[in-house]
Amino acid sequence: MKLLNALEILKQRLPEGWPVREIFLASGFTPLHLRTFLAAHLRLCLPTERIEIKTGLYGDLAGNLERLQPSGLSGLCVAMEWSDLDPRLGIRSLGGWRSTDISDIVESVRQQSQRLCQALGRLSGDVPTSISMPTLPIPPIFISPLHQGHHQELQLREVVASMAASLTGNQGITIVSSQRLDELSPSSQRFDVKGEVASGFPYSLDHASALAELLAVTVRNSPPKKGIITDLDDTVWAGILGEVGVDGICWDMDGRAHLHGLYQQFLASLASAGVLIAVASRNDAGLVEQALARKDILLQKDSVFPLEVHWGPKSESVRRILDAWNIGPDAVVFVDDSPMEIAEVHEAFPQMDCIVFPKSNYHAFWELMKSLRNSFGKSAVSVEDRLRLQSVRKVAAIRESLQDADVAADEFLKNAEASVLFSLGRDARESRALELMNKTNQFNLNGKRFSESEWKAYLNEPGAFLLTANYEDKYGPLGNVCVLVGRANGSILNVDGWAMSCRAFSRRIEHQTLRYLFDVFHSEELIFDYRATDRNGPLQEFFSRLLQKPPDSLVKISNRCFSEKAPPLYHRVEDTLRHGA
Amino acid sequence: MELENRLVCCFASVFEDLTTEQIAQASVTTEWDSLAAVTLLAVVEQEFGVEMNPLDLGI
Repeated sequence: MKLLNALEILKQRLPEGWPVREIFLASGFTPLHLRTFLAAHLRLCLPTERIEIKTGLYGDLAGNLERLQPSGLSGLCVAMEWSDLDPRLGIRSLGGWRSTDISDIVESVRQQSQRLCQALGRLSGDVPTSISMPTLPIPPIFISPLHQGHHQELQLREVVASMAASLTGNQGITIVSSQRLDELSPSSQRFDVKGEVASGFPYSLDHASALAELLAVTVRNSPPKKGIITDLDDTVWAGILGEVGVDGICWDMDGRAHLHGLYQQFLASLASAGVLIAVASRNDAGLVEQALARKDILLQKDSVFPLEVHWGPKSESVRRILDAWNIGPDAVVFVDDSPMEIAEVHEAFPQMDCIVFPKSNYHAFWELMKSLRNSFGKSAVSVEDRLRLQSVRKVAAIRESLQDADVAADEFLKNAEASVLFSLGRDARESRALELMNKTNQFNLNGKRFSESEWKAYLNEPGAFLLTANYEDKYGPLGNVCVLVGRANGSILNVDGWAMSCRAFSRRIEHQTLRYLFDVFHSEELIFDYRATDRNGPLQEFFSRLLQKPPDSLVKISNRCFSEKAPPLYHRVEDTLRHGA
Repeated sequence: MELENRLVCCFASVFEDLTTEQIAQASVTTEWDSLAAVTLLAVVEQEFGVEMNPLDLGI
């Protein structure tokens, strides 16, 4: 992005009353154009929010962070440079570069890194924090020639690398990837010596834009996609299974099919991080079973569900897979080597990312892996991620048993040996609760999304509470599947947010949740801040059944009405009061 | 002419309140905000691929 474009973007006025996202940009240098670019990139990332960026004092990054009061802030962006660790590592200081000074610089960098770590650790508990570690070259202060890495230079880099690794241990901190920044902004074109000397702004405009873009993306923190649907022939393996047979397909270097082996390895990596993997293949189901049972295969069959293997249209397979996963097409990527199949699926599901597998283009394959990692990337693998595939299988089994055997839902649930563990409190550090609230669409009270700071502010309100439900039955645990936030006001409870994972449907957890609220708070009435959205049909249906009519914008359910209309509940209920309850 | 239009765009991006006519008649004054002057310099340098001396703009 050019500076002119950034200024043009920022000139566009937004309507008054739109939500404000206040970001603090912390740097030791004059933020100048970095601030402009950050505001512009954030405007593009978050088009329905008003972006306000505040900055601190020149030359005092650590002090700016130590003085910062995080209340009201939606995010903190830190652009750290070497001169923030010791001013002698910049060119505006004349503190001395004699060879005898360097060991003192290394020691001072160590001390300053600890100071910065402390300040950032404190802030990250209250405000989501994005940090770019030093991006500019170290001035040529070492005695060695430029082609040689000097011992003390490596010591400095070690301090910074350790600092970054240590900071990532804080849940609220995201470190900007230096590798990604290298791709967007070549290191030799980052430093603007004239700008640094003349105005205290050390970045070239291109570098400022690239760094601002990455910081903005980390601030947006968009949810990852959930599933990948892949073809088999000439995609997961090389060769047409129906033609060459189970032993004829290959994915190794000997068969000149190494890219397919890498693709399998990559899919297995995604699966281990909780990404759902399914197969849509025009093939013979029996042969596919045998192929997936080969001992040398890298993508294990139990990592894949469901397998849609038949001779029908791919779009039908994709539809059935989405149904089994119970997620929307915008959360899924489809990969196939055939442009025709890609076109057919894309026409049926325009919101889905459909990618042609580049079976003979090495560079395109490398880009595919990067693109997939970007789509499915997450900071950590949660318990729910580990359980996802298992629970999707269970839901499908339950549906099948209900359909095929025509078993009454009531009878089925009675024998499920289900238990619900409720946790009631106001601990905003429950990251899974916020994640569930922000990611869930189908069973979501009003579609409202909370930033971390809004979440914390809400739970600090008088009477506010956070309720989560952890579910398990004889088919296995589902983990934390339900989150509800509200405010207690005498015998009335206001429910402002409620979301339940689609994996937990058909188990009457939603009914048990309301039963629990009535009982624990001794409430006569629950008032829901309900809004119909394009996707919360299951919740609308739930309310309609209880109210015997379509829900209005403010749904009120009395204890008496609920007791009359709710179906029998068979869960064993336990609860725990959390910190601050 | 095209050069002049591009230059007007640069000025307009920095000085939002000025009309095209006002930009055409603008001159360096001591009332220029230094931040605006530095931003204008950077925009013009990037847009035209030139390097300018800040002293030329009285910065």
